[in-house]
Amino acid sequence: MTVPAPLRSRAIRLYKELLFLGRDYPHPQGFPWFRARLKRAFQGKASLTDPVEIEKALAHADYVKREIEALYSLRKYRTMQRRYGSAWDDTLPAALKELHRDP
Amino acid sequence: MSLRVLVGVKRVIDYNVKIAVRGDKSWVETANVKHSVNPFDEIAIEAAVQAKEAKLVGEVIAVSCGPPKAQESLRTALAMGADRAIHVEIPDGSEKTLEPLAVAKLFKKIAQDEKMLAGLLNWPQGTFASKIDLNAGDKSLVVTREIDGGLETIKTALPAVVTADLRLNTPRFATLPNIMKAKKEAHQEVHARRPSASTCRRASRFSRSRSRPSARVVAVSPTSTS
Repeated sequence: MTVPAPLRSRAIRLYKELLFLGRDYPHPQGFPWFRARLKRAFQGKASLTDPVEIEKALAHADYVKREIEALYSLRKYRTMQRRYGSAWDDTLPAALKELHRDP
Repeated sequence: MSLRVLVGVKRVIDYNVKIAVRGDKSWVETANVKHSVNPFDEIAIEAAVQAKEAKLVGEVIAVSCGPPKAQESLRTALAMGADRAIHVEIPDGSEKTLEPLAVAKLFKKIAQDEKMLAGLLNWPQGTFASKIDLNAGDKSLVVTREIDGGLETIKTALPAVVTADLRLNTPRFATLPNIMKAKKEAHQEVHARRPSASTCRRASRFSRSRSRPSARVVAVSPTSTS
């Protein structure tokens, strides 16, 4: 393998971070499903040697990581807003009210 | 002479979990149930850390009063950017009887031990804060509060107690590298002393103060005695 060490350690770190984030992933089969998919995704790119290609794959992994974080954030605070939202929300425009509506 | 922020953190059942009551109706089911930091506490930590990043505040201290497992919440607070963590340890199981008054007295004691200018906790307060502007120069705080019917803007002197509203900010994630770093950091442990135990008993004789769920405590105060 001619993959330079820094790229490899970044890939490993991203894998670990994604694994950590995936623990709470909302899917009926939960974490095992997430882990299987993560492994498959990384293994699919395991044979890359071109640094440019590797950078692109790492950027994609980073993007996925940020997407998951955004997903968690949105779900949590939407739920909180619905539960603890105030009467003030009635003064919001209709589109925003949709977000805060009690399910 | 710099400002310090004391943030209360609590380990609670995760917001996503469907609460189940125990068979013997004694409490809710907590064994094997996912716990996490109270979302409002996360908002409070985020506000404190943002103030620190803007160089308005010198130190952020996270405090938790609870059983040994509460350390997890403190580690999350450290991973999000708190500088220090204080764990007031109480026996497993007795957190159910911990009353708000006892917790408030605990905070007061910690604030005093930290040699802040507190005196009696006669500090002004800005609750349900959706926006905080800290002016370290003239030691004042402008808080925009969410009240029924709209917003209210108040100006208070420091030290002050501020509680967080949902709209204050969106907390950052405690990322894995930060959590690893936080695990290595030692944090101060304080065992609940007798004053707390007696305040627990005394507090239960008062009518339970209805602490609204959308309030979490962030106490701000200066350190030196100038």
